[in-house]
Amino acid sequence: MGKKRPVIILILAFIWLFMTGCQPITFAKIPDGASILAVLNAREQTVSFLNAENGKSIATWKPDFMFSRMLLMNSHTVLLYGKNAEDVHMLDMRTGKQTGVWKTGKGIVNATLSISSDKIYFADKLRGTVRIYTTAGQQRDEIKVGPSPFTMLEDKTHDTLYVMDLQDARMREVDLATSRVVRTFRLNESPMGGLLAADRGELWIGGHGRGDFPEEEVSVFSSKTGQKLRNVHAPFMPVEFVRYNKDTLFVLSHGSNTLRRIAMDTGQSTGELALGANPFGMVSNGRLLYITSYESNQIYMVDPETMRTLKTLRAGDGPIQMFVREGDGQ
Amino acid sequence: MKRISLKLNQKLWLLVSSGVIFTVLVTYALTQYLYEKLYVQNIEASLTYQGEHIAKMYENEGFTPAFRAAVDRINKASEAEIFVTENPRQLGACLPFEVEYDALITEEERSLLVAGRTVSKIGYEGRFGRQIMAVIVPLLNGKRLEGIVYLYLPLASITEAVSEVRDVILISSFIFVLFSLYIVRHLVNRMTRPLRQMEHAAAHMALGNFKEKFAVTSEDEVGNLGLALNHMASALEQVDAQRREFLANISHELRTPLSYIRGYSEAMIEGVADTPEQRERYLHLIHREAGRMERLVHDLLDLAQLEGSSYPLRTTLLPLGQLVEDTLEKFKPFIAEKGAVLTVDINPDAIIWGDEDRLEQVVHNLCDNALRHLPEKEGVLHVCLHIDQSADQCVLAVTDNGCGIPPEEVSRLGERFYRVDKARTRKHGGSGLGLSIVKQIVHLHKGTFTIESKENEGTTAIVRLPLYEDE
Repeated sequence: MGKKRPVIILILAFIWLFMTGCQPITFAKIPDGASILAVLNAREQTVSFLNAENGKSIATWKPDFMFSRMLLMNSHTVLLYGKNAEDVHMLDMRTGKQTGVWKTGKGIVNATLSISSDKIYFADKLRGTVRIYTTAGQQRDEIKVGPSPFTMLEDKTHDTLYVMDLQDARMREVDLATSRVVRTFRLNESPMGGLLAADRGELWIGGHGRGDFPEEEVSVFSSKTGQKLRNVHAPFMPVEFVRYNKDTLFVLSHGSNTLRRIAMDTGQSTGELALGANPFGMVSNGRLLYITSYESNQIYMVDPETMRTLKTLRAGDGPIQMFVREGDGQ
Repeated sequence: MKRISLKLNQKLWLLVSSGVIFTVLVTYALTQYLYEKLYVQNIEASLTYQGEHIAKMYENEGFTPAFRAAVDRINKASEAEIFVTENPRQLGACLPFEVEYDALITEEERSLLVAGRTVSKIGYEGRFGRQIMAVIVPLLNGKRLEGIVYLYLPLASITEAVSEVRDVILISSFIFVLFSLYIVRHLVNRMTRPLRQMEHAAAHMALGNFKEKFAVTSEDEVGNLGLALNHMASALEQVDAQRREFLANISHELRTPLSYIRGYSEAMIEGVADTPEQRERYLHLIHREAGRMERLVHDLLDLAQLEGSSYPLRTTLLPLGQLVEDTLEKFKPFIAEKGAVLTVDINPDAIIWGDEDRLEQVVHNLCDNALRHLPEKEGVLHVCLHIDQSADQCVLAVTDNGCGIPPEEVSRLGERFYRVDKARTRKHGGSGLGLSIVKQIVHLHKGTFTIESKENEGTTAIVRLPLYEDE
């Protein structure tokens, strides 16, 4: 009996290798009906899917390829990418199958879906460019920007893409019609996270800070002139922004673990909530705010009206990025 | 390539010295390593203790100005640099992002700190521009890393402390090594001195000087070797003396008959012997001396053969009593001629395994020898053969009542050409080889040959031979 066991294990191992080697990459299916919250857990390299309403876990994907960030391309398609990954992987949540691999090469640090949902803007740190892809995975254009592009904000009415550079602390305005940088202006050091309030003609820019000095302010620039309009105090390190309504903006400062509700007209804080340990990501479905706490492996569900934590959900190791996908109700 | 040849004492010295140096080096390295490790551990423990003390203060007070002032005071009093920080930049809060900034701690260290663990590290810290030994204690609020206590000591001060000890160890090791080398050299020389002396003595021996003796000072193997060498020297000396004596004896034994032959033949040539009777007498004398020489040469040849290790005995089963009786029968006329009495006591059961001719020679030589020493009148020759059951031996004893032999001479009987009668007169005749031959034959038969004698009373020659055992 004892002698046969290694042989059986060997045979099983071969079968397993055969199965995994030949079958396409498949993950758990994510039903279309439910409203879901997807969380990227950076340290354990997984994506977990939760019910956005009750926070119940639906499934967890654990791909064997490298990735560090994700993007919801349409209601059922997710892109997984990363700076050290050679490819962008396209996965269908409905079937749990990989539907495409885009050979982009390494260096993709961030991705933004165009407002028209037909293009994807990739920030490539290795090339120092913004690369424009179709949703079919074809590169349409590549625009040289600064050494370390990260946050990208699209202005639909002016057909402009604002690209913030983490390293040289500049904002580059790219004219999407001509694919050229038409204006550059100075930002605070290590800018990250931002919001284009097109209705107000304002760019709200966050960041990490310079040297030993953590960023304490959100800088507000005019999108028309590139002039700095004012500072809004939001210490420390405001990096995530969610526009709630015409006058209300939520700012998440990861250095001080603080969520602030800012009145955009006055720049005054109308509510503060300390939460999590090093919270990095914030998304909203219009009714609730979801905030990832990177170091305590939690997700906070916050009521924007009362500024109270409604629920704390468990995440995987190192939750860093999220998206919310509304269900079709069926 | 020429090989360097070293003397034994040099080799030993080199061996032991390299052993000592190797041991000292290993000990030195080990001491350094252990000391450094112990010192660093000690510092780490002390820094951790201080850090945890500060963390406790923080738990009670939080980041108040009073807390900061207290930390400043501790920093001033301590040898180490101590500070606290709650700056998220320095705490590496942005590490998951690609922010080009050198935080105080790395991402792994941060995750350890968040888990509530104290981190210690040794290495170059770019922020301080030098090698440091650092201990980082987290200030936590739940899972939230509110700040850290950073305690560090430049590594230079650690290595300085170690280098002080190193100097002491280095100097004492150096002195120890020098001292050991000297002592080892001394000891090795002392140990090998007897060997050199032996070499010297052996060289002298090779030149034939056996008087050189080696002074034995120890009881170890070298001392035993010295004793053996001395013993060998005396044995060689004795053999050498015997050889000289033997040569002298041979030449003397040969010269006597030769001078007879030469003298008488010369007399005949020169016509001194003028009567036919005289000439015949001379011829008889020449013939007799030639016979003596022949016997002498024959005996020498016999002896040489018998002394060779591979002399073949033609052994048969032999009734020794019969053999003795047969031999005695041949002697009876000579005994009668001498007017002596022969008494015989023979046990006929004595059966041995031996060479008949050679054993007959033994009996012959013994009787011949005894007969020669019998007094002119009232001579008694007693031959006795009996069995010593206890030793499984038969004993042949030939006794005469002659003049006897002084006790100091008895042991030398059986040596070639040895005569009790130093004057070497031919009164008793014989070649001086008879007993030597007896001794050799008995030896070849695995027996023993002894002589007992009392001066003026008589001599007994005893031959013991192993009995044949029917198995």
